Amino acid sequence: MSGRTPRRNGSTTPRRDQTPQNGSTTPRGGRASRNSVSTPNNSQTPTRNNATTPREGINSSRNIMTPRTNGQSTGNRTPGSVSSRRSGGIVSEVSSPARRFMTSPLQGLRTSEVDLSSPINYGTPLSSVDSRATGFTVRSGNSVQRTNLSVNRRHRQVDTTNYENGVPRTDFENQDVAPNLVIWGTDVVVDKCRTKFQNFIETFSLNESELPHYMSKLSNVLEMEIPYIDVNCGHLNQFDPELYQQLISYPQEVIPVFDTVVNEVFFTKYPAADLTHVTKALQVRPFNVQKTMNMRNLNPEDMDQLITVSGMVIRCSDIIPEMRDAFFRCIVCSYTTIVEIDRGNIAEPTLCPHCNTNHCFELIHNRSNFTDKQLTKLQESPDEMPAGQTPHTVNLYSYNELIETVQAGDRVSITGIYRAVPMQVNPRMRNFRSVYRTHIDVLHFLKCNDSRISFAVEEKNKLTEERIEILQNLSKTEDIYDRLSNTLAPSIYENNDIKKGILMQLFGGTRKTSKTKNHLRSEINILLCGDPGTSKSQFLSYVYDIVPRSQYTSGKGSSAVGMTAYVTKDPETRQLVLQTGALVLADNGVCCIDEFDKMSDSARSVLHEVMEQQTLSIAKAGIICQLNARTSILAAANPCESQWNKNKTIIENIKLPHTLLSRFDLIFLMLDPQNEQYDRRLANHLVSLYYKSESYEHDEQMDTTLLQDYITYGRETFQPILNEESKQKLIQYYVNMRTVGSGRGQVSAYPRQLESLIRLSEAHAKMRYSNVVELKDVDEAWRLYREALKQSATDPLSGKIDVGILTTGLSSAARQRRHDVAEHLAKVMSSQPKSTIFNYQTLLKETKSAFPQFQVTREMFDDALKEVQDLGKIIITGRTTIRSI
Amino acid sequence: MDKWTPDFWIANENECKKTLMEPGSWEKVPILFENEAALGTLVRFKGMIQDMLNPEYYSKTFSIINSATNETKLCQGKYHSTVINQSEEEVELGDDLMERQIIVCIPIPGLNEWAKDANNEKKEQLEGCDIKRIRLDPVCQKYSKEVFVFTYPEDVETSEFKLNSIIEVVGFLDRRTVQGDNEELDEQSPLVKETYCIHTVQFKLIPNLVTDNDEMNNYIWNEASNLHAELKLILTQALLGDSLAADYLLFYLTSTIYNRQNNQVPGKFSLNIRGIPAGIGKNYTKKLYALISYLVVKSEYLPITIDTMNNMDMIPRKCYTSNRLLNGILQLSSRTHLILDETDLQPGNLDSKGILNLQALTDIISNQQIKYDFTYYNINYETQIPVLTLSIGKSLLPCDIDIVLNPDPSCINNIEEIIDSAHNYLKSQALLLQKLRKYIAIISTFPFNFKEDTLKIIENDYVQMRKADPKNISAEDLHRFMMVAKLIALCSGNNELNKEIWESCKSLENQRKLRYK
Repeated sequence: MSGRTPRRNGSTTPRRDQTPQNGSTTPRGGRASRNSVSTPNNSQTPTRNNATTPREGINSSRNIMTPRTNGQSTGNRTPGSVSSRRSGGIVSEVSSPARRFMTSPLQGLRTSEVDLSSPINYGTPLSSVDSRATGFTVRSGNSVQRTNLSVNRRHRQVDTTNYENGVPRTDFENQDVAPNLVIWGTDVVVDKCRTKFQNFIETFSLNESELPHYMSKLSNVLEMEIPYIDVNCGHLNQFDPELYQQLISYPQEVIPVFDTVVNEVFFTKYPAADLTHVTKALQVRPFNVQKTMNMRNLNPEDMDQLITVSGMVIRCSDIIPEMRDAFFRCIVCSYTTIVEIDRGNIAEPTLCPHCNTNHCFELIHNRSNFTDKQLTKLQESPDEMPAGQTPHTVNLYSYNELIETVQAGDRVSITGIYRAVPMQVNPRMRNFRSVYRTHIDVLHFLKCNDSRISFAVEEKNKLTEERIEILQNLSKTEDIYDRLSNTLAPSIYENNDIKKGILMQLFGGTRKTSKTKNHLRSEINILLCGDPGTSKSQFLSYVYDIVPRSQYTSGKGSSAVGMTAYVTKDPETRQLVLQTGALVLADNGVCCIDEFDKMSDSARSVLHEVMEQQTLSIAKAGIICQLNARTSILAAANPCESQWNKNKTIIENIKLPHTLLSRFDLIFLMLDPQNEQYDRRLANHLVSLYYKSESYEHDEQMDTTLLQDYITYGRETFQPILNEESKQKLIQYYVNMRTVGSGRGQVSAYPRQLESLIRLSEAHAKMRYSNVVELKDVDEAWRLYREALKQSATDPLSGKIDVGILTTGLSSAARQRRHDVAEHLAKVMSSQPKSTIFNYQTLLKETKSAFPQFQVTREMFDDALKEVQDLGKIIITGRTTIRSI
Repeated sequence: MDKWTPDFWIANENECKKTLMEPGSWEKVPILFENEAALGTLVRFKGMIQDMLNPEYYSKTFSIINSATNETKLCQGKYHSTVINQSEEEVELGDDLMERQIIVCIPIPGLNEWAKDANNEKKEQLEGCDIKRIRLDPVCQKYSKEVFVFTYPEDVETSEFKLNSIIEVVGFLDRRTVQGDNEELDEQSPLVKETYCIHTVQFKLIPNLVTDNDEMNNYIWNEASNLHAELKLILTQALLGDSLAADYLLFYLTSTIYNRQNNQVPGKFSLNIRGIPAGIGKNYTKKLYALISYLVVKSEYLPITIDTMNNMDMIPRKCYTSNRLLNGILQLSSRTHLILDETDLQPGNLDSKGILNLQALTDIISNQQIKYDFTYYNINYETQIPVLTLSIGKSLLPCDIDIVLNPDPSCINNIEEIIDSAHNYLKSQALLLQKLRKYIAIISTFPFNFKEDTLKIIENDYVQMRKADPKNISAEDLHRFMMVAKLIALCSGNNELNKEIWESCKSLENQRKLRYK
């Protein structure tokens, strides 16, 4: 790609006009010329051009690089050689004799680099012709490695010729090796850059108390034998904005310098380390460039700069072995030569210089060198895309170690260098296009899937300081709770407590990460149930709309595999791959499940694990794994008789297993109120939809985006913990709940309820941007909890709130009655001699008459009989006969 | 203007723009595919944005060096996609990279014959009323007549482009092979096709295909009640003498969406006419569609059968091999009337594709949204496709309003004649026809007010209705009442809701409900 010209002649380079000319003499002049003027090529310093042939002129102009590079490896692989439009080479500020670079190429630099005994001089066996053998140093090693920096190989070709002729290029003689080496065309002073970066590596630490961050990373390198070190550019910017800026603007030149430094530091610190089996040299992989942007915003200005874009991988090609240089041997005299790849082509040498035979070369494949290369396509993720447009895609090229790190479907954010290459045109066709292809040479992949941040990482980045301040101020207003809940789903009328509940759900509790296996979930699950047409689905779709990572499924249409994960054969790789279902996709988001009651039992059963353990265990087709499903569940269910029966308990009304019900923190009843005032207000509200068709959008106190930002920021930033006061209060509430129950002879509250209360209080504290859960949070949580309970757990028999309904599926009153019946039965049994046979029907009749105060249903009677049987007093021998023991 | 070339335009951009913007000159630009147009000249093209490709970078200038004569020629990259050069010529790219957007336009799907003619400003051709070919296989015409439109961000505001909107561009015609995105691979693969492309200099967004002028609009508005009566008469005849159904069909034809918020789409009006007499089947619905397509600008007829549901590509799908969005039948521009014919539906099994298709139709009907399939995720696109379902029993698709057809017994026996006569009547009244078409296109877009005191009455009425029958009246009914009332008012040329209209709305709805029994 680098230096490819649209046409065959190597002497025309695509952008030579733009090569900044003055960079060679003034260290910082080149910078300015980067994007601006194009001036004729020959305005370069005469010293360089005068001695070169016209054909080499251009090459040499790009080739002015540090003497050390030239010296050590006969001029190949300057990292920043040709490919960029500013064509970096390294030149120096002052002239000095060239002899020095010929003899000791690295004199201007630290001696550690020339120390050939250093472990980095791995001495890989190389062909004699390969100039790499002439001296591997840290530096050349790096540049060899980094295909992704587009090391230009045409260079070497030129230089090699020079050296083969025995005439070192004259232009080098006029170069200096003085310390102030500047990369040509940039403002990067090599030494300064080195020193700064070394300083950064050695001293930068995230907070005072810790070890320097990157030094500990280096020790990781030693322990884990990972051949690279990730550098967070955010840190670098914090440390030295200028260096950061240089990195962004001239990554191709600066990163090799970084590589050198890292290797130096590493091998100075761990001189005995041996990484040769992993890598030739350590690499720096920068990521998190602040220029993180939407793919859509990429433009020609970003060409050759370091950028970070995020998106979804949609396609990975096979690994392409890309020939780096071809090894040719003359079939007549066995003379061998190496030809570098040039713009994707290998020019087969026609004439053997040794025996003067024409067309006598053959390619020796196994002595040619190849690099691994992979083409990946990245597509804009849907949430970053403006509405009504189609997503953009961008091509990524990854090389060597970076191949195969991502797969189709992954959400990644990648850091790399943006490139444009003139479109290759078929030479047979007369058509020619002045069009470029763009791609990104990848330096770093960051997968977004498995990090907690994903709920909001993009959004958080978008929040500016001012925005945060607005949010902070907003959080201090008195009525923030009401304002937020009013903004939520404005099209849904009233139902304020439900809105508050959902608001709590959006904030979520504090994540408790205890080291022990004891995992406490922080997500709040809500169940809405009630009459049809009470805008339950609207709530769901509203939440689905505003929460970035949310999924919407309908119970009727979802199967267990659709909810969890299924195994398919990938059409491209023909491998079995795990496709994740709704629950996994909603990790860190909200999974909205409509028609919860109509879900099949098997689908519902997977929810048990998700709703408490927040994981999903999969064992299918040889894939056994546990996936994270840290999702909040917002479910809606209709009563089984289509209309809510007020005389029945919630369990009877929605026919859901109570094991599942108890996993919901809040269960709201949405009943059609059927009262005139409500109707009137509702009518008014709806009519206004038509009336104020235009102004409707704006008359809300807060708009939805503000709400989203508010929630995102609050959710991510604050991790409230309970203070002593609120702890006591929670304990008190819990004990109260328990004592109320114990008064009637049973347990009415379970630890689950306490956990729910804690979560709700935390969410409320988050809502007001506080890191401490205070008394008022607990009170509100309690109120909301009671409010939800009052509606859902009211025992229709006693009219009292009874948590027992949720946890055992029976109200305590009903339980009491069943118990009474059982006692009565046991009495009847024991009054008779052993082995008496009772008739079922008569027994039922008798029992019914024995309890005139309430009706003994057949069901209740059966249950009671079972209870007696369990006591070992009777045996139910047939459908109608019961025998006492 | 005929002699303008891209280079001439670049050199004299301001004057050229001025000339183009002069009244009348826009229309003079030849239309692609219809008028003769040579490469490199200015053409006009109207189409729907079907896909938006990645932007492309190009060199603004490049030079061609003739190695034989050593001459250097400086060329412009803008408004050019290919340059044909001689073998002895060398091309050297400039380094001024610029960006241009590529959008793919296709001829407007569902555009009815008469509208095409009208767009040409030709004389109304009265005999050209043949039924538009029913599209069953979108694949076969996937690539026909598609045009790549290059837009230059420095010239036009590219962010205005939305998928499925209709644009008219004026620009320089060119040809270009656009490779199926196998960028790494060779461009000579058989997939590569040459297509027309237009380098845009100016464009217009066309929200409404009917020619827009205030005078005409006012005329229509003032004539509204007459036109309403005429149209209702025709539709009544078409619906076999059922005037109530004709009222609703009329609302369906004229309705527009006027607000969109929080999943609510006030103004959408999907209608289900059921109770089409079973025996008269196919022919009747086709004739009815022919009549409708003769009145509305864009329409699409889709027979719902097990076979079509299972086999048709309805949902636009992204193909990652060609990196293109594949057109589906449901990729339609705003206000394309979609008529679903369920009368031929037989019992059978829907496979997964059929279910997805059904889901897509349901989405359009109930939310006016459709999810395009991007393999790894779906993206919701907003639509404005009024849907009419014709069915014998209750439709399997949802609807906002369903009405039982109550055909006049005298009409049952000679259905075809009756519809044909309605059709012929329209044909014979060219001027009326023109007005009616215009009326349908614009009548519901006029501004409308709800009077405060009427709103009070509505509120009260709603409360009363709830009292009387709390089980069957819900907020949705109120929505429907409001929508019908508004359409009654607008269709008869009232821009305010008054008591009479509200009353007539109630009686209309009551009559409709009575038919359920």
